[in-house]
Amino acid sequence: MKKPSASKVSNPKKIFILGVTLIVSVIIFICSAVYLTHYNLEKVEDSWEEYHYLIQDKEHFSREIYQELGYGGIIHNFKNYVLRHDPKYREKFFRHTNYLETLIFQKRSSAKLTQVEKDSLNTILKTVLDYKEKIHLVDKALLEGKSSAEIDQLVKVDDSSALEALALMKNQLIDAEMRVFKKSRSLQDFIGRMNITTLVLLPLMVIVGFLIYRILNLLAHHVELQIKAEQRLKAILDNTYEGMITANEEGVIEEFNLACEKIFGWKKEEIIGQNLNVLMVGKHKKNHDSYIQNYLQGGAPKLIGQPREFEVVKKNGERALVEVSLAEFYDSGKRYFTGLVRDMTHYKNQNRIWDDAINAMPALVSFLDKNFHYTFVNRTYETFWDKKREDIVGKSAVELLGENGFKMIKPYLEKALSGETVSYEKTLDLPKGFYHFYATYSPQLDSLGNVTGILAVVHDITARKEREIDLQNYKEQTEILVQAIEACQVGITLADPAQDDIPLTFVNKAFEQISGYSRDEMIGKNCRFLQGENTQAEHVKLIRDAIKNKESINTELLNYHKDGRIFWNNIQISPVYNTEGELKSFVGTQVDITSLKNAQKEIAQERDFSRYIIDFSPSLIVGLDPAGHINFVNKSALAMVKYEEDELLGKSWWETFYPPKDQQVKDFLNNFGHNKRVDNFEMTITDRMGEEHLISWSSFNQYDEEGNLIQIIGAGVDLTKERERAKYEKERHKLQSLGTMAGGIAHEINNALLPIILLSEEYQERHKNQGDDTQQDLQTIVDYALHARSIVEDVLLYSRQADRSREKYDAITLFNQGVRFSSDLLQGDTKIIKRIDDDMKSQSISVNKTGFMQVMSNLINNASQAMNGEGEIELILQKISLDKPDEGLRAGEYVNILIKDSGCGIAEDKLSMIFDPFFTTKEAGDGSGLGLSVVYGLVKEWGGSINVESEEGKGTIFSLFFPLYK
Amino acid sequence: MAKILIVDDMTGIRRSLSVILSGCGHDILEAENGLKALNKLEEQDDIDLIITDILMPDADGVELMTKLHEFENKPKVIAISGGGNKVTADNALEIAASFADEVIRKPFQRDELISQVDSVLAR
Repeated sequence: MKKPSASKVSNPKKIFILGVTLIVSVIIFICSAVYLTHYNLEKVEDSWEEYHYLIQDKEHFSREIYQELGYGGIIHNFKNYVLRHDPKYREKFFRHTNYLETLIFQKRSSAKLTQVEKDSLNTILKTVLDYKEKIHLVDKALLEGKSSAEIDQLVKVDDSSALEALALMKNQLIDAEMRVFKKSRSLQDFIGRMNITTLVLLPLMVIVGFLIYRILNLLAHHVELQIKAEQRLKAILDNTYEGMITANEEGVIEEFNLACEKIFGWKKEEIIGQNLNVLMVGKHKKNHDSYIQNYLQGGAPKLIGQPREFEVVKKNGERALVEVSLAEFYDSGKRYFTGLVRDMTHYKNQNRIWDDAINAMPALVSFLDKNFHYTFVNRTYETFWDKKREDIVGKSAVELLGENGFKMIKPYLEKALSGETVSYEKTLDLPKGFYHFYATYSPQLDSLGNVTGILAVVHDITARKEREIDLQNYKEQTEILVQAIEACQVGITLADPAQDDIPLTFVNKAFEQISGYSRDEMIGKNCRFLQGENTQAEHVKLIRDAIKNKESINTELLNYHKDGRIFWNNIQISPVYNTEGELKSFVGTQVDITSLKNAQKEIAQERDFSRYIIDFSPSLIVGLDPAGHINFVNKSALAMVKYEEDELLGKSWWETFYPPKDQQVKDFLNNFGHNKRVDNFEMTITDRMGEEHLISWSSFNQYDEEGNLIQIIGAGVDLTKERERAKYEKERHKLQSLGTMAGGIAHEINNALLPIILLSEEYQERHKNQGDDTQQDLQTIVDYALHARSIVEDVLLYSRQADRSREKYDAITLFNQGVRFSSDLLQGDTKIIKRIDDDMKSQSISVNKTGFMQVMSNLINNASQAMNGEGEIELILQKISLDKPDEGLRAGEYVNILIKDSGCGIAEDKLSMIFDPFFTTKEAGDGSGLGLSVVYGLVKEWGGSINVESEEGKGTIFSLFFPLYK
Repeated sequence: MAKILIVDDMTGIRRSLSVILSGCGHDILEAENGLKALNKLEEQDDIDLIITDILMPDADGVELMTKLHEFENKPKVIAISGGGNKVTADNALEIAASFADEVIRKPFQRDELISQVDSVLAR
């Protein structure tokens, strides 16, 4: 190896610094020496002082022991007590023993005692305790009265060991003092010597140090330069990224730099000396030695000067790709080969990372040349266009993007070519459709700053744009929704169920108007602030329960406006869930229905009013459902049919009041409900008592909005009385006309009959003695003339019946008068038997007296004639009560007159005709046939009735009814 | 024997009354209406009885009866009525009842006539 030659480099500055350093270090050395000496001295002094105090303490201590033990102390007082028996010595003895004991115990634990001292103390203590024990023997001996000598003998204590121990302690102290003294003396000497040495050595040391430095510096200089050169080379070799291996002709590695260590994983120390082929794989590993030999023997170089890539093996067995450049050089007549090794693995990886990175970018990345031809596209680009990279590279942008697309981006490409980085966001009309791009074009520059192409990074943000548009639309819709809610005339509120009191989070304008409160006043509060004194608690509870159960509720609540007036609030509250099914809100629609409520109230009042009118109307008013069941029936109708309201409601009107056999009803029912309106349809209805009423009905149908029949309302007028009156009036009018006419006719006939009768009778008189047929013939003329007269009388009577006025008469009186009047007129021997019931007293009827007489005489006369003027006529006056209508009579009380005969009777087929005018069963000349019709007319006129029962050959009963007058 | 004036517009009635009453021996005068009856009364003041119809054309029986009190020798009156029209007949009968001594309703029989005439004349 060729090494760089070292050159002498003078460096005065360095030398100066080194000198100064040396001087400073020497000064520091001296200072520290002085300091150390001084410090040590102080330490010695301190310890000596400490030691001195310790000895003093011990001295004091041993003196104290001595005092306590010796004269005036323990032993002394013990002896005195033995000799003199004085308790004060005993007391003193104990004081001293206690004190000494305490002292020894204290010192034994605290003082820094030597083993000898400790042993001595123990010996002393033992002796003290011995004394203490013996004093009790003394006490005992004294009590026994022994002599002092005896006692002394008895309690002799061997205190020699204690005294020896005390002496030993003292000796120890003396030795220690001696040692301390000697020690301090030698130290002081040493210090004195130290100061002198230092002062002498200092200048010598400076000079020697400096000389040493100079010599060393000169010696080191050359070596230093050489080392530096080598270090620099090593640093370069070690720090270069390229590995450097030097091998000799045998292929043995001689040099191996740091980079190589990194590449191959071998340490320099490990690899040096090994053959190069340990780094190789495959055929190169096998053949490497032969390569070198081949070259050395004049073969053509295969590697030298030509970098080549190899696959090599690392120490750990991993493969690596390296590029090797080989050079050769000679040193000391030997040939060496140096290889520059570059780790291509990393480089390749790096490239692949970049490739992968660009390919993995979601952006469309492309490079274009100056003519806008593609030089590179990434994988995203390929995917976007669904084309292979090689199909795109080389094509022009216009080919790929189409005319329209290219036209739109061309200005930006041109700007990028001019050296500017441009970005745009645009919807491009590409051959594959419209796409929204965010693109950045950057100029690609060479090392001189010339533009060589364009880097285009394009983001396809079509989907995002669509989302943005969707979002925008959604926002707009939401906005419209909010506006709609604001514009809504219905109060709309939102409340937050997540908060404790479920406060309002939103109210619309309409609700502000309804409540009178402003939005700011309401938000954050529970809606109950609208409630007040008269708010229905049960409805509030309904709402509370619904909210608790997260259910919808609709109710009408009386609320209070801000200004205090009440309003009816129709509240609908519903829970609102998000798509995940979480309860997010309660939406309330609140409508002020006060006016509706008022309207309802008015309607109710009107309904009451209508009901009132209906109930108090004299007309009969009923409401029937389409099936004919009774929905309502007014008081007039109830009074007429004699039912209670609850007996009729829900019942079939038709089944209750009309027997189905009635054809008239059948016909009506067939059309029932088909006629929208019926006017004045006359029908007879039978009430609960069986009484019939003729009703003129008008009805109209009520339909719902869909045109379905919901109710038929009928209003009826009871025509019964009116019809009876009309019938009576008609009859009366007829009779009046008849009367007028009959009067005229009667006058004329009567005039005409008069000469006939008179002259016939005159000539009968004149010829009464002649005994021929003339007499008989004249009588016949007279008879028929008289019959004609009676007919005229009956006609007159019949025609005048309507003109009779009525008065109240006592029934019995009138009956008696009638009977008397009638019996006066009777011919023949007919007997009359009367019977008057007791309950007839003081009962009255309202009749025309003359008419009544006529009726009585007519019937009695008929009865008499039926019996040919013989037999009995039974007359009965009685009172009868009718519970229900019968024989054309209303229910009520009646005076009843029965006229019974046992005569010829009336044939059944003629019974129904006997009250017809001009009907008669009598021979011509016996009656006009008007009698019974007159009787019938009169009785009916008085509100009464007449009927007849008869059996041919057995007799007839006429029964007269007159309403009891009250 | 009495002098009787029969007043009736119907000849047959006058005749039949006259035949019967003259047969009874009475002296009979006839007048066909009230006016003529009054003339007869003025001519002859010895008339005992007037039998008069009530309803007649040209001064009927009522008119005649109302004027009878003008005569000093006032004859007795029997009114005969044919009934007829209700109002007039009833009124006539009422009036007749107040002016006449007796009222007989037409048609009556011979015996009734004779007995009534005898009865009135006997008063």
